[in-house]
Order: sequence, then C-alpha cells, then structure tokens
Amino acid sequence: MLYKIYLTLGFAIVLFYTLTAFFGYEYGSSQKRRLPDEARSLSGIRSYSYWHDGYQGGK
Amino acid sequence: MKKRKSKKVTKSPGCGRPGFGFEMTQLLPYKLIYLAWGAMFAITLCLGVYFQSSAEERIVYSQTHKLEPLPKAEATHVVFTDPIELKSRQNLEVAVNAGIDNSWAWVGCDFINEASGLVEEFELPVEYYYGTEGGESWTEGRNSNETYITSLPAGRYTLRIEFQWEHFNFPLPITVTVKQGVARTLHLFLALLGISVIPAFVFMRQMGWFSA
Repeated sequence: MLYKIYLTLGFAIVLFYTLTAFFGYEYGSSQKRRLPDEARSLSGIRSYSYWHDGYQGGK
Repeated sequence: MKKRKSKKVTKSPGCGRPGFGFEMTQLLPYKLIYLAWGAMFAITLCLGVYFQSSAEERIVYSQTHKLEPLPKAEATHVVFTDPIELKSRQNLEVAVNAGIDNSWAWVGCDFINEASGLVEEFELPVEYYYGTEGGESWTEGRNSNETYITSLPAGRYTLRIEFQWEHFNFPLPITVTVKQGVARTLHLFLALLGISVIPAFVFMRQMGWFSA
C-alpha cells in the first residue's frame, strides 16, 4: 500500500517538476490583470492613472 | 495402504521458496520503495541536468537609474522602458540593487503588453538596516532583492517601474536587471527532496529510530 502511494506521489512530483521547468512556471506573488481599453487609447499607458499607489514601508 | 500425509505449504507473494516468506514479505515493500526512489531520483537528476544545461539565460534589460530627489514622501518616480522582446516558456528573474543605507526602497513593476493588454504586476521591496545594540552589532535585510515571474506569452513588453524610497529628499542610485530563461536549481532540489521524504521515513523506521 505504502509502495503504491509512494509511486503515485513520486510520479506526480517528477511530473510537476518537469512541467514547471518546461513551461517556466514560478511560485511567485505576481498578479496578472488586463489593461483597460482607455489605457491603450490615445494617451497610452504612460499617462494612465491606473498603476501602483506607492509604498510606505520600512521601520 | 499408507495414507500420504500432505503438508500444507504457505507461499508468500513475491517469493517462490517456502519458509523464506516471512522475511521477504516484510522486506519487499521497503525494497520496492528504495528501488522506486533510486529510479525516480536518477530520472529527476537527469531531467535537472538537462534543464540546467539547456537554459538560455539572457539579460533582456539592465539599467542603473539615478533617481533625483522627490518633492514629498508619498511621491514616486516612474520609468517606462523601451519595449522588451520576451520569449514564451521562459521564466523571468527581476533583480534590484539599491544604494540604500539604513533605510528602505520600494520598486513596483508591471510588464505591459500593449498589443494584448496583459499586465503582469509585482513588487520588490528592499530594506537594509544595521546598528549596534547592547554592544553587539546587527543587520537586517540587504540592499538587493529579486523575484521570479512565470513565463509570459511571447511578445513585446514595456516595463513600467515605479520607485519610492525612505530618504526621498536625497538622490538614489538603483539598478534593475531582468533576465529570461533562468535555470532554477531550487526547483530541482525541492523535487529531489520531495521524492526522498517517504524513503527517508521508511529507512528511519527500519532502523528503529522511532521506537522509544
């Protein structure tokens, strides 16, 4: 029983590693989103007020 | 007529020899687990060597920005790069190195594909503090940071970089580097570790390390 569980789990790990390496997958914290149409209009992305709001970090 | 006495022989699975079964049934699952572990370890290692050697690591963007002082603490400095050509199926490493001293800097990035409208957003905070307390010196953080991004669809991307830093009224030199197709040894190590957990547990149990 343990052997079968190990075989299944081990195979899944090897497969996951292979797919991760092949497709360039990362476990990062980045976020995907879609640029609104108005951001791609005349003014373009450089003037669009849609981006981050900055950060107040540190000690 | 003498009746022949039949002796019942119990055969254990995986062993044709009677009387040898008990030990074999005990050992067989362990042996199989070790064999499977050896095979999977070798396969993963070969895959790892293949992926490491075939990685086409290249720097797609590297620039040192000399940021001018900001008018107020909440203000940010924004930079848009020239379009960067990215390939599909290749991860990205974004690294920043800031000339900070006992302070913090924050870098917010967006990979923007204007053609498809896709935006990949991530942040890279950097903090580096040091001092002396009770006669002992201490440090916390470092003046560089990096993050890894999952591969994006192939195309031309503009990188929007937004900077903010604690000592906003002083200039700040900061280097941003983007690499694509970076080989990830950590993933290989994690995979090898993952397939070794159960065999290690079995080995420890066999050795009696769990008995009181």
